[in-house]
Amino acid sequence: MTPLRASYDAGLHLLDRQIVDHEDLPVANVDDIELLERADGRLAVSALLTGPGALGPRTPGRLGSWTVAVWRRLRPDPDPRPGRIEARLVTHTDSAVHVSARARDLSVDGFEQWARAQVIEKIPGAGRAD
Amino acid sequence: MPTERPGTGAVHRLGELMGAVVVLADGTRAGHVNDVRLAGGPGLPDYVVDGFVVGARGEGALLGYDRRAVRGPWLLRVLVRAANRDARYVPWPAVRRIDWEAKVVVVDRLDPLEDERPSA
Amino acid sequence: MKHIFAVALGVLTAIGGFVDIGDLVTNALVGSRFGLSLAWVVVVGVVGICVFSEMSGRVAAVSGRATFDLVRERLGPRVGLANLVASMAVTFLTFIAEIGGVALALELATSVNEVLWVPVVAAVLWIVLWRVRFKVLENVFGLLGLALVVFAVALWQLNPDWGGLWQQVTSPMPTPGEGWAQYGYYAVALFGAALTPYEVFFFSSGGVEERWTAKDVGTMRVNVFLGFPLGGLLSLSIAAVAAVVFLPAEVQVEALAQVPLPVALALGKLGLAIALIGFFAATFGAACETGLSVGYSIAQFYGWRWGKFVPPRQAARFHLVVLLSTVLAVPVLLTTVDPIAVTEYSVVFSALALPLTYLPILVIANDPDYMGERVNGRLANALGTVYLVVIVVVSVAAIPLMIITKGGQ
Repeated sequence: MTPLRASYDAGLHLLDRQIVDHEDLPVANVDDIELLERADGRLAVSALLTGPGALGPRTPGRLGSWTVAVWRRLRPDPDPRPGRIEARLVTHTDSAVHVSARARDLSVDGFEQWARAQVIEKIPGAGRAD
Repeated sequence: MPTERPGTGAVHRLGELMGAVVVLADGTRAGHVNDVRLAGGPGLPDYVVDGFVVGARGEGALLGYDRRAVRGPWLLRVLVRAANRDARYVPWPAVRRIDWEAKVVVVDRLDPLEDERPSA
Repeated sequence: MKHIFAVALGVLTAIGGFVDIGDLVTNALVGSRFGLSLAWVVVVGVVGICVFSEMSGRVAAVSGRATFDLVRERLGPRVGLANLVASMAVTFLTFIAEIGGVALALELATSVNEVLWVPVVAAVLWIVLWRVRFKVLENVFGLLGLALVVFAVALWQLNPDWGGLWQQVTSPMPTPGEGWAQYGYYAVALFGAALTPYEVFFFSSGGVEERWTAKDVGTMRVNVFLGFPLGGLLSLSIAAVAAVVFLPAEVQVEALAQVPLPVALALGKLGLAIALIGFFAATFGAACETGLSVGYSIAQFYGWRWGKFVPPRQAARFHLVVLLSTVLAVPVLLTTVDPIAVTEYSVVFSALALPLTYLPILVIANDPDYMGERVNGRLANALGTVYLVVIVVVSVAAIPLMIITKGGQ
């Protein structure tokens, strides 16, 4: 049994799905998919894109453009790239998209790091699970 | 940028294709892209766009309800089937070009929609 | 033997945890104005919450995914976001009402004004959410909530005219002095109080927190099908004592202080004290659930790591949202707005938002991609479809009835 489906209808099976790491813990959502034009003209899946930089353009109307604008402002580089997970890291899909890396190695969560550093770490007990 | 020549190495987002207007070669509008079919393998980087599911209106007509689903409350199945009755499919060889800026896909023809199966 | 103990604990916790400020207030109010003529709505509502809790619990156990996780997948980013905003607004409103309810319960016990209690309650609540284990939270407040059984005991003690009460139950029409618009409005309110959206968000997220698997579906079903209806009986007891004591006197319940009076009448100070413990447990427990639900829903929609089963530093955004919600609830209550009024609005807006929550659950519970072989059977689908129609009707009727009756007058 192959871990990946024979074919995917992207909207039904991939977009907006939860991405989980090898421990089945959530990493991010598939907010968009990066396509690369190959030499033979086909569009190949190169990466999964996450974060406001990826979801903003898919949110229609002013909310979408506002999200993208705020996100660009908060990024230091002039032409920021959205959170990106290489397609080769995807191991299998069921109700979620499973990737082989650990969440912390994927560095797709700027907001998470900010929230952790600025707020959560300053409260005693932040390192203890239930 | 319009992609008339193969292999420019350009990077795009699949989200830009969702809801794109589908136009026949003679200019008549044929609908909107409701979904993008990906096929290939064995690894995910080997999957390529295999074709487009085209419907009369923009995406979201599905309620996420799988077209092929044979189970479910009768009422929902009837509603979903009604919403999807004009869904068609454009296999990749029938795609003439994609205008990413204008979000337009120019095609030669539309086929009836079948179960998921790679076309080429 | 240990298994039976665990199941019993689950059922008892479900009973005690069923009632929140919305059920307390709405049932007492309805009992005082309509007697038990709206009891059928509570029954319909309880069956509905059983149907959808079982579905969302099964989804959580079989797919490992909680409800809001799946809302965005099914509805897409645009409609899904509208759903998130609406659901969050209602859940946050309910959260505020629950905190207000705790403050009111403390005011009843100590005579210290409710507004002064609000910041204390919010602070303690947040510390509990930060520190206390999920299972402990569930069990402690669920079991303490069983104190509300005192209402059933009081009903018995009051030795009411049982035939008269049954007469009310079987005459689904407005009592003298009330019109059909009011009857309909409070039917909507009772329905919304029984089926508040946060309940399924919390139930399914809790299932993921507790790492349910397909093997846990049986136990989950026992908890739901035994616990929730018995919890519904508690709601009906609250309405019944109000019907016995307040209706003949034509006194309308408008403050939380009135709700336990029939218990005091029947069982004296001890009964009153037990009732207050029950109020505190019900509202504080529900405040924990709604506070976590705001965090669960937003985190699940955006795909963030969430939950109490990981250290907070690994779910920083989730905990930030919970913290912010708790902080933002306080100024709303410090405006001295009447928490009862907030509660009444929260149940009606819950009724309005119901289709947003329950349609995706019904769709997902039928999807073999998530559920494998455990997709809905014919019974679940039949009930689910019937309830979906009912939910849409209730949702459409909510605002017009609110306008016509000027909020239930």
